[in-house]
Amino acid sequence: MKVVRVMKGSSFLSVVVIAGVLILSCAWAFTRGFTQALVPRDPGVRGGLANTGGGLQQRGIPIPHPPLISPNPTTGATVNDNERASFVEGINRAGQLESTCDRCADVTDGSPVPGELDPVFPQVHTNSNGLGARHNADQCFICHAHPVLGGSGGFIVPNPSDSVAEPAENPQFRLIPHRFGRQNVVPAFEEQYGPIREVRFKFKPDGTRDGGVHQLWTVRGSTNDPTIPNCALTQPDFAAQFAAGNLSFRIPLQMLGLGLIESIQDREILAHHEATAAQQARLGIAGHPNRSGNDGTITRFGWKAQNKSITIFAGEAYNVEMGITNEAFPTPTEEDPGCQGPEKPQPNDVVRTAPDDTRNQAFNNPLHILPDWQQFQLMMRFTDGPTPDPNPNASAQRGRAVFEQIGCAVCHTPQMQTAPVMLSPVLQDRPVNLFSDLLLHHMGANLADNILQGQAGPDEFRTTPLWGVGQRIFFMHDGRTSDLLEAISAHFSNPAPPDPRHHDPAYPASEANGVIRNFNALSNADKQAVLDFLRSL
Amino acid sequence: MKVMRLIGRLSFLAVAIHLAAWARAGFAQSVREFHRTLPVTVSDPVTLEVQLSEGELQIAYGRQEQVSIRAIARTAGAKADNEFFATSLSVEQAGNHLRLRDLSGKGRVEGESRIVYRIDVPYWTEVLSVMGDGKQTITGVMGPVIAATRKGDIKVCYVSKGVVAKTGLGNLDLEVIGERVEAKTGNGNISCIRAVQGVSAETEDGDIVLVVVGPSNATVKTGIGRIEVTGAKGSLLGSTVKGDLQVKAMLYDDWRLSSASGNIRVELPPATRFEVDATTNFGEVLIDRDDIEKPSTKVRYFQQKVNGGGKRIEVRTDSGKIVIR
Repeated sequence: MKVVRVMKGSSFLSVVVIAGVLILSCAWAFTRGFTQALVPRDPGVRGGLANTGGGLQQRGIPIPHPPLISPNPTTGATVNDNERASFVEGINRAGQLESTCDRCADVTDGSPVPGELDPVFPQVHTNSNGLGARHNADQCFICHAHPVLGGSGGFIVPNPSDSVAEPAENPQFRLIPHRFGRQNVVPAFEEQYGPIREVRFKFKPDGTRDGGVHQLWTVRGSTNDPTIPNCALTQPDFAAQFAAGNLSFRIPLQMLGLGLIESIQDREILAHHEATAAQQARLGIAGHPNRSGNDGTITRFGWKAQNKSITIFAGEAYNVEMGITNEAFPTPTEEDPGCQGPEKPQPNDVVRTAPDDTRNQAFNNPLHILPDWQQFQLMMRFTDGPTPDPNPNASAQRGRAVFEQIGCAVCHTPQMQTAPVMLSPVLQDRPVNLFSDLLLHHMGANLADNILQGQAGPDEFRTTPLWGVGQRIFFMHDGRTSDLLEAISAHFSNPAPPDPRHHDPAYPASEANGVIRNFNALSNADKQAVLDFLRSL
Repeated sequence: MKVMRLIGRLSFLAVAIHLAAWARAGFAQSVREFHRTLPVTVSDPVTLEVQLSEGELQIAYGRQEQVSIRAIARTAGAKADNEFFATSLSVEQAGNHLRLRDLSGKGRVEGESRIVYRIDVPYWTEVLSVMGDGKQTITGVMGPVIAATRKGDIKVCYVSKGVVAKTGLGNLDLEVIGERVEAKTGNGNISCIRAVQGVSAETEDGDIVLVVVGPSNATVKTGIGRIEVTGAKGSLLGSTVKGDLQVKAMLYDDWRLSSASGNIRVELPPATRFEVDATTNFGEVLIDRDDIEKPSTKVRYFQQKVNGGGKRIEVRTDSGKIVIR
């Protein structure tokens, strides 16, 4: 009997223990699930990767073209026929796939390519020429194809000539370095599903400042240019430079709405800065414009606001990114005669005045005479800004208020106005929802790239316009993250002493620290609201 | 007397009121607008079918995921009421297929009228548009585009695929077309610029101007229309009746040029290798090139392999003059 009682007692104990474990397990699971539900999370690219940029291309759908600027909400003015024609011609030019020598293009310059998924954005046959001996890419849109052409850097199908498309990926990983037989070694920092990165060297071998872009690829091995059979250019030793901490990465910015940003007057930028002076003081924010060394006006394009205008940007990008010389940047970055060929005049992309038809000009129409880089800037000028989510959810709507409460909007200025009188009525006197003050701010050691550009110091960056951030894949100047929450955290940086090993000077604290502290103090629900709001832009 | 004066004043007033009412009806302009935005998907092409009896039609690239249709009617007769478009215009949508048409007979507005239809579409759009009387302009779409008008001009530019443009009476203006172009007008001019996959252009009477085109044929069937080609990138077949024919280009393929009574002028870059075969029955062949020995006497027939020979240029005219330079 005693044994039975003991057994009964132990059974009871077992039941109690098991029940206890079950209750605790349920409680833990419930708490974990509950907590997880509240942990703020970046909702990811709005619309999903499969429905944007290269995701569409992978499904056999042409990547949508950049949107034409919408009617002026103030006056109702729309683009005129000439502006529309410039815009459409500009899309054609920006989509061209560049060959090298002037007679190497598969299809006559500037013509759509039959049989391609998008004849205006060909991936298999060239329809232009002038590609530099060194370059980062062989067409403008290849680095500006997300979520639509004219956007920021995204993914592209790596095997466009095959019948079955492989998943879209970083075009710098396979497509560009090896297109048309080019023999390039892909540096480790160009990852298959990572951001498109260009590199700047911080310092030259003699220890003096460099700061310039060093193009990733060469035309060596090109099978579609018979004029450069002996080109033996080699790439810079990126691995050694990386190991020495001498590389600074930059990812492509979007081009949507740049004509509107250019149309903002300096006085408007400064007025917004002055209007928030008290908030800036409370939060430890300063900020200053980068200015042109020529006329002293505010420069505003590029990660460090180093470019004065979209025209300058276009000329610079043609030469730096594609190695295509032009009137604005007439000298090649690489002059090795073995890689230029006898059929490649320099500067290459210039106003077309040749008496024959080799450059496809038609002199009865100025659109055909203008060079590619000029048409490219016209395309940017009349491209609309990114379109925000027309139906943001309640959390996103609340997030906007939180975004402003905690001080994000002090630098990420939600709206500015274009100049009151401009030649183009569609551009003048209209709001621009850019979410940027277009000024430089110290971001501290965490983000510092130790590159100087104009008056932008080694840790200073322009406040990146947030319009379109809802559909961006990668964030920060170097594309270090694709998680908005991490991007927000990256804004925080404590002061740092000099680091002589990498020539780093002392860096101040990030001007964003006060705002990031406010963000960190938010409830999880409010943090989520901010993330939802950002993904609605 | 007093009564007579009163009657007179009343009559004057009545006439004045009548005149004012007539003037209002006769001269006031009535404007009616129709605007609708239709959502479409990016995953399939938009197919746009337009059938209109009259007006001006503009189809242009705008942005993805929507088709915006705007119609504006301006009438001098004040006959367009608020229901004008509701009763006269039909817009049907089935997925990405859109059909716009004016309902038979109701598209006409009494009095002097002008209706402009403006349709903004995504790039990936195919167009089939048929009009009675009126001008069509189609810009910036992938295509293909088929545009036909009974009477009116057609302008098509920046189309990535092929274009068929036909009008009974009017000019055809085609620019930057990715695939083959077929252009035909009963009476009017044809201009085609940058169509490197080639053009087939035919007019009963009018001029044909081709600039930077692939393999092409150009025919003026009657009248005095001329043909001018610059930058032929392929074979060329040109034929006029009374009009002149002028070709200035590098030679990529064979050319056959003929005219009944027009003059024919061929300009090639120096040192071009080619074979020329030129005949005029009653005119003269003139040579103005350093790489060809000029005939010592007036000739009506000239055949030679120039710079060793190459692509063939055959030139025939009955009474016109032929110039090779």
